[in-house]
Amino acid sequence: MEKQAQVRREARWREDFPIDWERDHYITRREMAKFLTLGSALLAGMSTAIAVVARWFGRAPAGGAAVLVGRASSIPTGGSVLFRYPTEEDPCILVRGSDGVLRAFSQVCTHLSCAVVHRPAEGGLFCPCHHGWFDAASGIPTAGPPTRRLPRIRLEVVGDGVYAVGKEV
Amino acid sequence: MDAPRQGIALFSAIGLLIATLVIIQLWLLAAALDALLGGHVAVVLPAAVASMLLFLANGGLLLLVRGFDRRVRTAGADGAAGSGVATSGQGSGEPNGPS
Repeated sequence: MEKQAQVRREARWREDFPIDWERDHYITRREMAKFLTLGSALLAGMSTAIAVVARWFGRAPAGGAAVLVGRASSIPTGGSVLFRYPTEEDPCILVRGSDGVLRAFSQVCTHLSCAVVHRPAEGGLFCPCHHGWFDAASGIPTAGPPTRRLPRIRLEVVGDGVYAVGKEV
Repeated sequence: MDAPRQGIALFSAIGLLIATLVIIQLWLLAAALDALLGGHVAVVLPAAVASMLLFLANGGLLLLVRGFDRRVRTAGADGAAGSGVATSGQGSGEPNGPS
C-alpha cells in the first residue's frame, strides 16, 4: 500500500519532467501560459495600485486664490521674474516674450527637476543640468532630454499687477 | 492528431495571445504612471480598469489551458488503468525520444 502511494507520488512529479520531447514541449508551453497569466495579474495589480495612489494621494489641480507675482511695468521685453505658486515649494518663472506678452511656467524642468532659466536671446527656457530647452511661448520641449511640457501658470493682469490664478498641468 | 500535439498547438496559440495582452498591459501601466506623474489623474482609473479586463481575459484563456490539460490527464489515467501500466508516458523511466 505504502509502495503504491510512493509510486503514485513519483509518477506525479515525473509528469512535469518528461523525457519525451513532445511531452516536454507540451509541459513548457502550458507552464509558459501560466507564468504569463501570473505576470498579467501583477501588471493589473500595479495598474490598480497606481489608480489607488492617484485617487487618494493625487494632487488636486491648483487654482483659486489669485497671488500677486509682479508688476507688469517692471518687466521689460525679454525680462523675467521668479515667484512661487501655488505654494512656497513650487518655483515658477514669469517671462515677457519678444512679442510683449507675459507668460508664466513652472520653473521645475520636467526631465529631472532642475530649475530652468530664461534665455531671451534664444527665445527659450534653458535647463543647465542636461541642456534641455523649452519654448518660452508655449513651454513645449524643443531640445534635449525633456519630453513633457512645463506646467503653465494662468495669469491675470489687473491694472499694473500680474496675478497668478491657476496652474495647468 | 494525438492529445499532446493538439495541446502544443493550442498552448502555443493561447500563449501568444496572452503575451500580446500582457504587452498591452505593460503599455497601459507605463501610460498610467506617466499620466500620474504628469498630473493627468483622470486617465489612471480607465487604464486600471482596462488592465483588469485584460487580466480577466488572460484568466479565461488560462482556464481553457487547465481544462484541456485536465482532460489529457484524465484520458491518460483512464488509458493506463485500462492497460494496467504506469501513467504519464515515461513512468517506466526509459527514454523514448529520438535516438
